[in-house]
Parts: sequence; C-alpha cells; structure tokens
Amino acid sequence: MQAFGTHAGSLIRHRFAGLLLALVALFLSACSSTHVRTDAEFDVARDLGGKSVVLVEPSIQLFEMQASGLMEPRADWTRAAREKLPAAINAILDQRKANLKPEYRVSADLPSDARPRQVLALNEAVINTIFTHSYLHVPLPTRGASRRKPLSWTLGPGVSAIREETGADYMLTVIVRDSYTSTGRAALMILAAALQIGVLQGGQQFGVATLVDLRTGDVVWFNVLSDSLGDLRDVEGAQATASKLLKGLPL
Amino acid sequence: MSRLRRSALIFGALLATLLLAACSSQPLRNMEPGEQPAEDTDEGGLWDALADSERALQRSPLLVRDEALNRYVNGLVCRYAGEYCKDIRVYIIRRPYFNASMAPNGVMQIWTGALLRAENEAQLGFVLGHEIGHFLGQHSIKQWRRTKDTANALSLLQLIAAGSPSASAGDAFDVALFAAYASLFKYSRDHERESDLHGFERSVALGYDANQGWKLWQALLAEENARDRRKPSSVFATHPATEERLTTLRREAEALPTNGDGTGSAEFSDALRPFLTTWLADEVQRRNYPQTLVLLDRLQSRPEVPNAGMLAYFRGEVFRKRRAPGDDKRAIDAYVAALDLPGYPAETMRALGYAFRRVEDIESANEAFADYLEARPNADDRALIEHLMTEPVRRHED
Repeated sequence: MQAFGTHAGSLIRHRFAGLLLALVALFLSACSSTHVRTDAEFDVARDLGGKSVVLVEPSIQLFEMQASGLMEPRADWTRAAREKLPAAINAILDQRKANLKPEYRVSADLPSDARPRQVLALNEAVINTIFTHSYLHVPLPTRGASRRKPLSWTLGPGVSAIREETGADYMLTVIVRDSYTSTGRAALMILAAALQIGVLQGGQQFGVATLVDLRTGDVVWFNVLSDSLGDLRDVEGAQATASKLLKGLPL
Repeated sequence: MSRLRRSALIFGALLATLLLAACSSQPLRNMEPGEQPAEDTDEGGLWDALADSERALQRSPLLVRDEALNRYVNGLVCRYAGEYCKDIRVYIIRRPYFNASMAPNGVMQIWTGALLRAENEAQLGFVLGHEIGHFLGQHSIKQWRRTKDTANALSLLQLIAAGSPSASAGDAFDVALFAAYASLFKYSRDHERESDLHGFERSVALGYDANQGWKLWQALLAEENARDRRKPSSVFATHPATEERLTTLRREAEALPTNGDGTGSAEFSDALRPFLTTWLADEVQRRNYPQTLVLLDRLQSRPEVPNAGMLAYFRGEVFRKRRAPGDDKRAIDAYVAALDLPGYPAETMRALGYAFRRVEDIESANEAFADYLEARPNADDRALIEHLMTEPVRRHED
C-alpha cells in the first residue's frame, strides 16, 4: 500500500511556493524517458542486417491505480496489450528488415532444469542485476560503482540452447508494467493539487527491453523506458510504446 | 480558512461518503463449479495475474512432484471439495512449516511441514477442508475489496487531515488509520474462523472423527508454547489465537449428537512414510529446537512411524546442532539409544563420531566412524571421514 506523509500540508506554507512545487513535480512525472546502454563493440561490430531476431516470452501486465495508489491487475487490458505490443514490435523489426522468428515460449511440460528454462531464468536474473547496478546505481562488490562503463554482461555460450530451439541470432526480451489512473485516483490527484498538499503520482508505464547475442550470450543492448503518458490499450499507443522500447536497437 | 479550502473539504467529505458507500455494493459471484470470473472484473484481473505465479510454482524446485503422494493428496482434496474438485489445483511445497494456502483462482499450496504434523487422514482432511472453505467463501476477493476500499477512504481522509488547519486533524487521522488496519485484520480472522468451521463440517459429513480438528490444534499449541519467546495475540494478527480455534472446534465436536470415529485410511501412512526422513531433516534445519523436540515426542506415538531409531537419531541431531550446555552428552545418549532401535539411518554412526569428538573421546569417535564406513562403504564423504580419523581434536570442533 502506498503511503505518503501524514502531515504533508504543514510542510508547504506559502501558497505559491506550493503551486510551483506542484507544477515542477507534475512536469517531472509527466515526461517520458528512455535510457539505452550498449556493450563496447556495439557501434563497430554490431550489424544486425540480415540477422534473425526472436522475441522471447514477453512479460506484460497492466494495472489500474486505485485512489489509494494500490495497483489492481486488469485482465482485459493486459490481454489487449499482450496482443498489440508484440505485434507492434514485430512490425518495427519487420520494417527494419530484420529476419523475424516466431515468438518463442518454453513449452509447459519442460522440467525446470531443462536448458532453455534455465537460460531464460538466468536472463531474468541478469536483467535485474543490470537494472539495479547500471540504472539504480547500486554498487556491486565485483564491479564497484563503475556504472558508466558500457555494458559488459554475458549469459555465456549456454544460450545456444535458445538458438537451437528458435534458429535466431539474437533474442529480444521485453518486460512491461503499465498502470492507468482510475477515476478515483484522478479525483484524489486534483484534490491534493487543489489543497496544495503535493502532487500524487498517477499511472505510469515502465518497460525494459534487452537484446542478447545467441552465439556469445553477450547482452549487447539494454533499454529502460519510463513514461507517464504511454497507453498500451490501443494500437497507436502500442506502436508508440514499441518504438520507444526499441530505441537505439541496431536495426 | 480560505474559501478554496473550505469547498475542497466539503468536496472531500462528499467523496469519502461516496467511496465508503461503494464498499458494500459489489456482489460476489455465484461461483458455480467450473465457472471463471469475467475478464473485465477485479477478480478476473487477480486470476490473470495469479496465472503467472502459478507457472512459477510449477517450475519451483520446492515443488514435491512425487506421483503417489500427489495422487493421494489430490484424492483427499476431491473428497472434501466435492463438485468443486476440478476447480482446485494442489501444489505440495517442500517447506518445513505448518502452513497451507488458497488462492482465489484455485491454487492450493500445502507445505510439507503440515503433512508432517497431521497425524492421520482426518487431520489432514480438516486442513484441506479449511483451505477449501476459503475458496468457496471467496475470502481472497472479499479481503482484496475491503483492503482497496479502506485504503481509498484512508487516502482521502489523509488529504483532508493534511489540508485541515486544525492541529489535531493529523492525530485524528492516525487514530482512523489504526482502527482501519485493526478492522482489516479482524476481517481476516473472521474468515479463518469461517474456514475452520467449513473444514469441521465437511469432516463430519464425510464420517471422520469430529475431534481430529481440535486435536491437531492442540498439538500445534503444544509446539507454539514450546518456543523460546511467546508471541502475544494482537489486533494485527491475521489468524485467531490457536487456543481460541481449539476451544471453538472442541465445543462444536462435543455438541454433535453422534460422531464418526474414523481417522481415515491407511493410505495416508503409505503415501507419507517415504518422505518422513527428508521432512524431519528439513524440520531440524528450522533451528527451532524446542518445537522440534515436542514434535519428535508426538511422532513417537504415531503408528506409521515404526522406526523409533530414526526419531532417536533426529533427537540426537537437535542436541548436536543446538549445543546448549549438556547437549553434547545428550546427543551421544540419543545416538547410542538409536543404534539399539529399529530403523536408524547409517548417518547415526557418523553423527555419533562427531559428537564423541566434541567431548574429546577420539577412540569412541573413530570406532563410530569405522562403523559408519563399514555400513556405507561407498559413502561420498569416505575420504573426509578417513582423514578426520587421523586428526587430533581441535578446540572449536563442529
């Protein structure tokens, strides 16, 4: 449950100071940003022309933000987004002449220690680590705080298990969590602004996309998207989100 | 107070009334067997999100996949769930704590610590019936809606309090917050009570001894009381106190005009027996030794645990790992006793060797190690043990 300070009102004394602060915060939270990182050889050695790409188990979940800030999962929106976003991603890749392989999902009856499953679990762990280290700036004992360096992460040659399954040269992973302001939340946001108490956060789109070389296992491209205006529930919104998610992809 | 503020407060108060009024208006679905919630509802959203965690559960290394055990537990769930059998999917999870849970989409988890603690089929059935009670009572969605409504109302109250010029508004909000949380937890405890009664009623309907429910709680209470620190009952408890649940169930059982005397089939013992050693080893790893000792005492009286040697071995393990004053001697006594009983594992001799080294009795230690290697000529740790047999005792031996 989201909680904000109990006595926030007393912190902001001056009427206009409060309004100014609210506006600044509104601008900050309303902006859309992407942060791309690539590995060192990216510009010189990465040419994806004619290479094949497979989208692997996209993880997409949409929520409705309740007045309190609690997130309620919405199945109907999620289903729409799970159709529209991959379609939009595929359309972009197609446009850029990538050789697109059919979306890959690990078959349900594979045991948990099967190679493809293990590779995807490792991929998830590496994504979490890159995000924590390179984006949230949490130092790692093995890498220190040297977060500005290019990406130098690898899943190792074991990724060939995915290449054998899909025949692709690169694997694209997409994780999206997207929330939308409910009517109650909107009313509360207006009320908080009217009372000059502060700016309450509304729905927010958050996404991570990565590209892994299926020969070496190297993570060659990594993008984090944060957007308070994106909307995955319709085709145009999905297209806009897809192009932000794939920004800087070497295709 | 400015005009803007006053009107905002009035607006807020109106909104609060609206929000709170909306609380009680959402009806539960009828929940026919096989029915799923509509996709565009809050419940549909929960089901969809839970599908992901169910997939994770299916891949979990903690999932017990043994076919015979799953078949048995599933069969018992079906007997308790009746026509809702197909709506419930059971996952046995290897965790040494007494627990079971029910998700609104029909995912039931039962932890091995609960299987180890149920004395017979009737007790296990009572636990399963309790979880099915949560499912049929739609407790998860009720709790979610209540939480949502409470949080919404609180957010609004908080804004009003923050916007209020009165110095005591913040304090008033804190009181409201406390009361709201306490009421949410009470709501949860009421669901537990309801589910206890459901498990009880199903057990009675299926002809099991109605006393097995409270007997299970009695056993758990004995373990609870053995813990190092006592946990007071609280307004923030999700579950009612064990003592209360025991008393209620006992009263219900005693009020029955007639009572079945069945504790269930022998299938229970057959299904669980192959796992007892593993689960007991997990239990010792909890490092809650007073509770484990109470549990070991209780297991001694169970018919499907004929190998007293195994229980004595684990008693020794508790003392060897706890290392309270006098425990070295107690461990040796327990292992020596185990060696005279049927069913002790070969590890008893190795553990006895380690225990003797602690009291610096090298000769007895090496004798025990030699016995171990004789019983397990291909032991993985043969080289380690042989090396240890040539080593003098160190001061802080493990």
